[in-house]
Amino acid sequence: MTGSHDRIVTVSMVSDTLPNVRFWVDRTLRTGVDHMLVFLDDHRPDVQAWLEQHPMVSVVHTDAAYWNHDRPTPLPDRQMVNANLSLAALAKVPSAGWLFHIDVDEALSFDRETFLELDPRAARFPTLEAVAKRRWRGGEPKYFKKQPRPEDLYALAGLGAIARPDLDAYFRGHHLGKTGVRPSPDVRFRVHSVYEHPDTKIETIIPPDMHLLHYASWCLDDFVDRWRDFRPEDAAGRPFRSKNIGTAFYTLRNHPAMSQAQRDEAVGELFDRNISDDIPLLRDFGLLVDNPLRLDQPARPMPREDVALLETRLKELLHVDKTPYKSQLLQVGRRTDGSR
Amino acid sequence: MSAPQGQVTPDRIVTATTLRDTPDNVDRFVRRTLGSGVDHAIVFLDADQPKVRAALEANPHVTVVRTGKDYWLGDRPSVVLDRQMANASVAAAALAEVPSVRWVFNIDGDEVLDIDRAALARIETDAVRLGTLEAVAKRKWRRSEPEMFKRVPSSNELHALSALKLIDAPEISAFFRGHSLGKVGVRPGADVRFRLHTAYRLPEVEIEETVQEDMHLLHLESWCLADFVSRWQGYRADRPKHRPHRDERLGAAYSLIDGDTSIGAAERDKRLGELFDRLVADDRAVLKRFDLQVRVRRREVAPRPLDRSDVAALEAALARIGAESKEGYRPTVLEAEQKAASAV
Repeated sequence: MTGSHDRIVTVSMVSDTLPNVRFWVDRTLRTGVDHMLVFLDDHRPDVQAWLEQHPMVSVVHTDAAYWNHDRPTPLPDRQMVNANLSLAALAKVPSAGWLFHIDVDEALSFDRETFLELDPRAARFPTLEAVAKRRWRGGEPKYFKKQPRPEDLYALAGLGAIARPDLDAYFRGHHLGKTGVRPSPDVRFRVHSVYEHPDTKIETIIPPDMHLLHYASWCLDDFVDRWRDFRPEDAAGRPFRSKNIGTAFYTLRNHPAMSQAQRDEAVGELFDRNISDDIPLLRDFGLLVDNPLRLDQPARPMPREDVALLETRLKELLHVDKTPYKSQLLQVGRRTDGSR
Repeated sequence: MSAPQGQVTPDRIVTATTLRDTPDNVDRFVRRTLGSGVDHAIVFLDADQPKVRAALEANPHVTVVRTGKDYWLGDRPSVVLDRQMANASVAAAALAEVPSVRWVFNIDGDEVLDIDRAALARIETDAVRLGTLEAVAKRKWRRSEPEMFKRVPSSNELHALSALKLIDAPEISAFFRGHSLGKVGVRPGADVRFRLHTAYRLPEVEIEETVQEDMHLLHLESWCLADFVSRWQGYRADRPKHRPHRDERLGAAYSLIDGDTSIGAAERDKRLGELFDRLVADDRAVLKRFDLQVRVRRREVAPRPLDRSDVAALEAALARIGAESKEGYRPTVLEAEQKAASAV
């Protein structure tokens, strides 16, 4: 197979507002990513129209016909089918070198040139999580949180800064990061790793100084965005913390005895007590890093014929049975620590 | 009033209560109860308290039953809750022989009914359920009775309080000091058995109830520092009495301070006040902010006396049942109630 194999592509499942999607696409295409595959998980004509006119984005609307009227209920199942389908579609695209699965609240932090010199089939970028603060100037968090050592976790728990000495109490989200892989029809994604169908390990390196930046609730506005559509009656099966915060958010945002200003203040307190990080303490522990995101690596468009090939392949795959593209996801309870 | 038996429309409201308390507290209970719309109070005296008994017997609106050896006949339940339920069931059976009585409520010494006689008279079912309001706990209230009460929050509200770290868990037992299940009133009957928060007919038949949103069971427990102290006075941590865990913790802390011979009375009072502030008192700013308190204006209503013949019938029935074995009056226990009782 010939071709440059040097383009870095992402795949994502999206169900968000146009401003958020726009912001995220613009940012991603400056971080070293060259092309984006976006699977729309719900019907948003404005988001779809904007993405479709973007030359560096390929869009798939995953409607009932896409799922052959058998849409998997768990969100990770749908994400993985979309990502695996993308691997199949990209396998014959000569310029495509890597595919990463990222979410709308994530970004890749890496040096493109260094990364492309690496040789393996797969690479995992561990998580750095945005330090949460009500407001950050400039639309980006100034700091990210590093992975702590076990002794840091014990000390932080002892000081009452986290509820328990474990990573799930320190990070709001996952800490395993995300894995990128060279596209091939046999490869399957899991949320944080990859394997070869049916169940063969793929050797994965962790390149130094490359990270998955996780933004989830990095500021109050983002927190509000995240929980805006939560309904307590739909919370069955969610983990306690998520149900607790979501239900509290819903209750405070709609409290009949409070004015709008009082509701906003209560939601701010909810953020302070559950999300917000103690910056001086994290600094004392050496757990802060300056925001490492590089926005100076603009996308290098794929050749036009490659984009055409990719989109033809995606069309061919649009209505095929999705069962062969499902991943063997680890069951809850057998899931690796740090997977959320 | 003098209508012949069989034609009288029953409308009288009676309470059944098991008591063991100081003369002052019992006096307060009686005045509070008989001013709330209740016409007659049956008091089962759980301890030998001649002074209390004499005072109660002097009140024409009160009937006293001393539940001593002659009453339990060697089979006294060791847990107070079991004695309360048996006594209330005895009252329900005895009152079946009193034509003027429509309602009997099983209430504790620290509870008071917030009821409307006229509304109760309109209820057609044989039972009525009143939800709990719990007195807001504050060191001192201006009046001799609490006016502000906490309502039972919704599950969503409990989540909000816990996520804001204002309570330990999104559970009612983290917000209320005591029970939240309310109490029922029933039409008296020989086959009625009271549980703590429900009632049924023998052998195990549900009684249809009306849920009355605008009437309440007011739970006063530890509503002020003085009441807190009088509740725990004499508590011995080394003699557990099947109390809920929260109570045992409070009681242990109380008796540590109360029994500390190295401190004077002033220091002791100061420490008891601190204990109250930390473990009992409510944060009134929080209650106000989340609209969790309600003001209950207490109705001052005079009791409507029972006819002399009705009092006689009641006393005769109580004397008769009082001499029987109480085995048949002890209700089957609901797991849910038991769980709730040990959780608070």
